[in-house]
Amino acid sequence: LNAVLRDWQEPLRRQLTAEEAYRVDTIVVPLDGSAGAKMALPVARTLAQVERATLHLAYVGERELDPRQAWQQLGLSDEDLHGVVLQQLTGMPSPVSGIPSPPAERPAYTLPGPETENGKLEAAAEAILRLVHSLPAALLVMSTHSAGQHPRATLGPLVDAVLRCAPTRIVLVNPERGEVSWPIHRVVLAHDGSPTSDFAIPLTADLAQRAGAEVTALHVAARKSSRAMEPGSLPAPRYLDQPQHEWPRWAGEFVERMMALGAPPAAVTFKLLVTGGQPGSEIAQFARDHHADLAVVAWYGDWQAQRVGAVKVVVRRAGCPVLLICAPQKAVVSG
Amino acid sequence: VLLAGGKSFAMPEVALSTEVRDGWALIEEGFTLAREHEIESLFAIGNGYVGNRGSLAEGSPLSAPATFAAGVFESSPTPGSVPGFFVLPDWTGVRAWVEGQPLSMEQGQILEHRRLLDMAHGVLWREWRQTDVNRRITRVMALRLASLADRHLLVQSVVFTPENYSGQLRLVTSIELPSNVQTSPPSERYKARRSATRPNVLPLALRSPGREVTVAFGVASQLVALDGRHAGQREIEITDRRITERFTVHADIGAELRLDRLIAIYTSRDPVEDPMESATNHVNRMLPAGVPRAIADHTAAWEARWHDADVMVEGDEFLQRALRFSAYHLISAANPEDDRTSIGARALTGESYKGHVFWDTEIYMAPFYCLTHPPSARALLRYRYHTLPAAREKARRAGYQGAMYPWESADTGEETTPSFVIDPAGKVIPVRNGELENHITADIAYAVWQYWNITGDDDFFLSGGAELMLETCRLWASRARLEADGRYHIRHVIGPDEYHEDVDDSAFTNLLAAWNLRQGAETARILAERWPQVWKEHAARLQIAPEEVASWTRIAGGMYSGFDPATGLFEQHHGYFNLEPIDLAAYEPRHAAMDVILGHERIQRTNVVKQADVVMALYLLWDQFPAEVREVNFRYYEPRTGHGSSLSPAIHALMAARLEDPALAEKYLRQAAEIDLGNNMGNAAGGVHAAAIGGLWQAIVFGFAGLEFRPDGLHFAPHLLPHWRRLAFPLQWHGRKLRTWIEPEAFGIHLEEGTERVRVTLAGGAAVEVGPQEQYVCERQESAWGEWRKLKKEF
Repeated sequence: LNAVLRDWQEPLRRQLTAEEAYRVDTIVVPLDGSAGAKMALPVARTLAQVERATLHLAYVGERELDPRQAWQQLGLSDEDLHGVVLQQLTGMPSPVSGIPSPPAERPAYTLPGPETENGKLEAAAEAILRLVHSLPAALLVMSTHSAGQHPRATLGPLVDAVLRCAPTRIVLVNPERGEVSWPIHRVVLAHDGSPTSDFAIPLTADLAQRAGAEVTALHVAARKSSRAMEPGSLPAPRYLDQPQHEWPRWAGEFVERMMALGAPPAAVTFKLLVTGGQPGSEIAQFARDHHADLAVVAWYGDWQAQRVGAVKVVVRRAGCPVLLICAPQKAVVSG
Repeated sequence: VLLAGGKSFAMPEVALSTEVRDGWALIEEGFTLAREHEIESLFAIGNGYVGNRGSLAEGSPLSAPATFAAGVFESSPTPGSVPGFFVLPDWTGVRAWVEGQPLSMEQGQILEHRRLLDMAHGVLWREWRQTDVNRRITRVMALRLASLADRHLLVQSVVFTPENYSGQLRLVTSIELPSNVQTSPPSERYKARRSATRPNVLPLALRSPGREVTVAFGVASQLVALDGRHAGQREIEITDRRITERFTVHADIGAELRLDRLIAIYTSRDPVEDPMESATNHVNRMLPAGVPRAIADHTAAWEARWHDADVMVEGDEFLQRALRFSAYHLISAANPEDDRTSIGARALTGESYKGHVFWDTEIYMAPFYCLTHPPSARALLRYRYHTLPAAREKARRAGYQGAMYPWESADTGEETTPSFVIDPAGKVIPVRNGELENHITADIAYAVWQYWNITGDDDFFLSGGAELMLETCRLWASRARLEADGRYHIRHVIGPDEYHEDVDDSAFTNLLAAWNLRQGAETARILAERWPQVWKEHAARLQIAPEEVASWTRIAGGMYSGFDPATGLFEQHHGYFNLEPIDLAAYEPRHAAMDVILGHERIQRTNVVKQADVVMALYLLWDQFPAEVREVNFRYYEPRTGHGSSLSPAIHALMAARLEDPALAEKYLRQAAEIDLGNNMGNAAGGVHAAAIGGLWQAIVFGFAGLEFRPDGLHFAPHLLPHWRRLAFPLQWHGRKLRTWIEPEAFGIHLEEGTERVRVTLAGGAAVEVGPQEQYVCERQESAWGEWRKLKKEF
């Protein structure tokens, strides 16, 4: 743990190398002992299996526990332990962790930061991300809610705090899906035609290839959008002079750009679909209607901004785990 | 325009450099891979015979180099497929290796990169400084052009300068077919071979699949050092799909090496016996004078065309560039020497639309050629005359008389509209435009009449134009049906508003059909009166009886138009007023077309209009309607129009200008100007929007300058935007060349060439008879035009 936390000055957002962007070596699942948080485990296990990655379970609690005791507190079985690395991130208040605080047996490492609830949440979120960044090609997998929190209205406070820190790659799992196993057959990739969306392609393609899943790239022509587009974007056409010519051309151009800029493996076939409406709702609806196992969305990393409204809608309503991939800042333009 | 380092490139033998005058250059700084396809379109070069996309010579992951020859198509035996442009071998490929390392933007660092289209001279420049992985800096300056003076000739010149090293430079040039393009093997006679007599002129010939058009290249390449000596060694490899030349040379630090290439292209469509022999002979003829002479002739040809075509708008830099961009691509698209081809929707700048010809050419582009280069307009309209047999056959098969032009056509004039499209939602959507979008027949007749009206080219009229007018008129006489209400109706059509398919009594279609019928009768009357022998011959050959001519006028007079005298509104088509109303303003701002947002089926149930429809009819038939009808219909349909077609904004700008709504006119004018240039959203990736740029030119000349052609001469009703200081443009009318200029308080006209006087009137002002070489100016006095004043000196 000390090794993990040795450098607090390390930036919270870390760019993946081009090679790392294509793979996952480590899966990190923060757990606070609540039933809700545990619901991320089936997804994490499948991802670890598909990617041949090492699964790290990060206990988030008020005090550091004996590893065996922590294991029990998290409600995990011996089978769950196989091949898993336990990490402990301590200093969290009980209401967040959901675990009664045991008596301190040895001095716990206390997270720095203000002693307020929000301050501790932020500190916990930062600790989770520092753990993620310290591990090779890591992917964070989290449940959207812990115990006692309404699963749909808002995200849980810890995952909300994590998202405010703009994790590079995170899979969000709604605990409503339960502890059932999670196969990956159908992946829907939300693509707004921007270079930012292309950042989601390498990992999506890698996952799909390894899992033998089909990928549908879904482009939603926004019903109303004042957002300025990034240079190099290819949104749904403003002019469709003759659809019999424009659609094949536009689709060809869209796919060519995806292939050139996202450079997915040739073995993966992308199916492109376009619909109109509000992007968040349409993507979530499509994922539900087509029984998607995973929705992938590239985003700008500013969880507070109005423009991530569509991302929030997808996270809440897609009905499947959602992989958020944060584009490097240089690809983001304001608007 | 200088390279960032302060250096400009000049070819010393000719007066051409990268120092392009302001307003005449289209510049792309840096390199954004994702935009590569649209850059290739925008920076395309062409001369009406051949067009070439502005691809990078060494290629990139998103490069799509393509060369097209007008009229050269390929086709597939696959059922349902339609002919499309045959992508010719890429002649622009030049790749370099420095000491074995490829010179590539993907390796090392780009220090400077700029592409510059010199629109004044029709030259595409590229300036590039690249550091390789060993920090060697190479400077590359390149130009290419498709000669406007000699349409069979293509020129490429590339200068390499090792800035901080000396070492081995290896260059590989090629002419090759892209791997995804299939070709029929050439016959034995056309197998690629070295020329025995001129070893440095290399031939390559191919045939387009399904159409069997032979395309032949002759190529001569030369690498010269700064002092003019031949440099290095050359190896040649020739296969059926490729000519490759490899040059190896020791490059000295700071010393320029120039690779010059002359490429001639001929096809079996040309009136030559042997395209390959013609191509090689052509290059041989050009070799003594070389690249400099070819460039000089080419630039002189462009300067001559610009003299007759340049629209100047002072006070609006973006619009000025957009107008030059428009004229540049329109000039690049037309070939007055070939009247068996026409201009496709993306001209010769992209593969999109397969090179197919639509009403775009006649209604949106032809006016530009009529007023700036009548021979080009004539050739385009003669294409329709030559395809009259196919149009007759289409009418016959549909059970009609006369000529029914295809919605989309290629080389033969047969219908080439695809029968279905799979939209990106995965739905198979039948495409019925080829069957139902019949208004194109009247549109073509309109353009023929307009050309004759503007040019007075009686030879054209008598050698095909009149026949086309009569045969198109006949279509409508058989297409319209007299019904119980005593009116003639045209049912089951698609109007310009293609959101609504299979409608009855499209106002645009019926109004244009009625116009076509009247002008058909007028054609018969004029022929009988002025050229009775010609009329006798036409009437006999086409079996036109006097009573048939009389019926045309009767049908035109009885045509249902959907006009409501109580409101002054035309109903766009039967039932339009009952469609679901959509508040388009509630969807703004938006990036996507309304049919994408609402879906193909829903949009048909709404009152959203795709593009200028009734508004288009008001423009084309301006004189037929009282001012209040024009006003009320424009105000009704404008807010209901989604502008889902690039053809729409320019016409709305034109109409708003004529209706004296400067704010609305400016909004649409800017939207029209931005279609290819403005938002970099991939609009132009498949080629430039040739109709939209033709529409932009029309918006200026017919809208903001308010030009109309009247029986007694030219009429202007200027409506300049407040920030414009001056609008000036040349025009040709009945064999005379005029120049006009408009300022907020003054109007000037100069009869530059021609022996006969021209009568010019200003809206609300007096007329003036302008004689040869005379210049007149008229100034506003308070709100009205004053007296004409003759100028002594050229303005």
